Amino acid sequence: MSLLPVFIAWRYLRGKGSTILSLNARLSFTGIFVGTSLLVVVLSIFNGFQVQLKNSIFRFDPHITLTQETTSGPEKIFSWREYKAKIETRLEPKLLLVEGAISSPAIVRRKNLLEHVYLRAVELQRDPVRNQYLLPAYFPKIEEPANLKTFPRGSYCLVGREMAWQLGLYVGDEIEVIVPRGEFAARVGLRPSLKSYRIAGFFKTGHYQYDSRVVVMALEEAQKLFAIGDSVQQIFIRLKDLNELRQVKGEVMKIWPFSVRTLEEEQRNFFHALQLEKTIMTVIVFLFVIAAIVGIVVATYNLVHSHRRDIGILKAIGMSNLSIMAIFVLSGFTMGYLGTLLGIMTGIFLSVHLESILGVVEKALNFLARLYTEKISGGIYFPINLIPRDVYYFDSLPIHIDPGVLHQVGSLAIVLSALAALLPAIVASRLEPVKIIRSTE
Amino acid sequence: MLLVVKNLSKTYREGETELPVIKSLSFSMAKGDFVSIRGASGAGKSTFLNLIGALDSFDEGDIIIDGISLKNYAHKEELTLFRRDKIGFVFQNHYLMAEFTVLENVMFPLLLQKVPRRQARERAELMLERVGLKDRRNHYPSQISGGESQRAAVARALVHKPVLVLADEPTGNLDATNRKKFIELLQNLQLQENLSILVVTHEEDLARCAKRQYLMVDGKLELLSG
Repeated sequence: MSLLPVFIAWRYLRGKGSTILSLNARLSFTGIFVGTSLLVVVLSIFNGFQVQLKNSIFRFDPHITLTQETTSGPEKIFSWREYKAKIETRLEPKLLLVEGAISSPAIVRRKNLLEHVYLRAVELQRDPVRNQYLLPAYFPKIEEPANLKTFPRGSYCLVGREMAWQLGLYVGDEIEVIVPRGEFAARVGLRPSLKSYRIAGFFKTGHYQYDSRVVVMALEEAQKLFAIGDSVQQIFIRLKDLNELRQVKGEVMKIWPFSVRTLEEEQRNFFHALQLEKTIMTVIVFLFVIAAIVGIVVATYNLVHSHRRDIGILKAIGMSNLSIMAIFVLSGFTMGYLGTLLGIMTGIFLSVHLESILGVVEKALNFLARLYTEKISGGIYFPINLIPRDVYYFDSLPIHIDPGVLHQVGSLAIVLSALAALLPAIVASRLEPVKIIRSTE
Repeated sequence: MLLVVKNLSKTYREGETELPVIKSLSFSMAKGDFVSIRGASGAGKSTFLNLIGALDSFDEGDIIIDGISLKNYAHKEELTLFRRDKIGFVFQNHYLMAEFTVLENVMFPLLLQKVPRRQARERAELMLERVGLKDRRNHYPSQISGGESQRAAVARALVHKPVLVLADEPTGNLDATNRKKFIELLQNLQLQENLSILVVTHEEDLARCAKRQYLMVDGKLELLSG
């Protein structure tokens, strides 16, 4: 097929004279452009939230947890050092860390306030010079004291920033930690164990649930609190590459004969909820694109209808049905392609600068609101905060532009544009020249 | 013979209603002939022209153009290619495409024949010169008069050197002055290029230019002169 259909399609889109696009083409282009821009921005924000949440979870939680479960809960693991050594020997290149751990529900008491929390105790290296514990590299940022890398041995713990706010804690304050201890007895139930700990610092994972509920201490301190000697309740494994999670789990199962659970399994509902939320939002926004695609169908039908005479004469002077079809498919495809391409570029720009743009909008709204309240209504003015940081729990708007997603959005929109133009194009190719000529003479 | 029509019949059907338009019609035309067919509206002139131009299908008989029977073509796409190479059309409306300049409109038949763009441009410019529209080549159809548009349509019909030119009421939309100019142009081109032209019209002055004149009555041809 020659390039003639391309030439004709382009001229139809351009319209007469020197306009960039005909009115028809402009409307379809705008629909696709707005749809894809919105889709990119929404997906970038949702991806940003997901990435931030996942990072905070994968950074703070163990990737694989080994326990010796019984019907009454996790058993103490006495031979954990032996298993740790075996796992390290067998899977060394894939591992970041294998550590004995205690992770258990607990109660924190501060004066009259009681808070149920999770106690997490992990192996901490000791500073060879000072009598202090070294925080591991994977440990989240310590907010106060800033850049804390070590904390004193003995009865010290770290708590999340949110918990500190909720309980009114300062560094150096004391809290009491109460945990269940020993075996369950029918007469007395579980005996509690209670001990005071001084706050060494506040950490921030970026995940509210952790920052408001987790108390971290050294394993040997927790072993004393639980009175379980050198045993642990779990063995935590951290990997260098999370893509190897399932493979490593399989290999660990050959060594550890009891329960092996990955983080994905532990947090399955949470991850599914995140995915569901993203899927629903994608579907909603994709309806914009579908509306734009319907716009392309209508625009191409209009194009066919307004060029019936041209179709008649082109067929009369020898243009094939396929070439006629190509003209209108190309028209739809070009509208979709240009709209998608510019839509994606604009979407990326808006995503990258969203925080600044919202800032400008916020300032403008506040200016107008202040003007209105002060000059006109004389009422009290409450500043508008478009994204309150304390509610959404982030320092900056999390944006993650995923090239794979952009590729999918772009390809789908372009393919759908071409498909949308196909039906009107088929109608055009089936028009009988003699009928057109007879009807217009 | 350039064109041979044998016992041609065409009936339009709509539901149970049948309307015979061409009734067992035979006709022939040699190369270089200029033939006109006159007749009242609804006599079947345009239908006859559309059948010869392979724009419409016939029920019975045969049409042979340049030694090729249209019956040989089973598919519409083959007929499209036949039209592209053998026929030049001029209709009552000029059918110039509004988004393209006069020159581009005239280039289309050549581009459809896959003539290289540059060569097509040169040939189209020459053709426009012949019809007196060289200065108007870069104008859009909306920027030229009705008479000029119809001359451009003639240029488009002749640029690819078709063996047969079919003109259906080519002066139907023109005023007296433009009609006269158009008829002169057609006569000159026919003589200079030895064109084979079949024109259907209800206008006497155009019909009289032809060497042979027919009258179509009720789907049949009657020779008037020539």
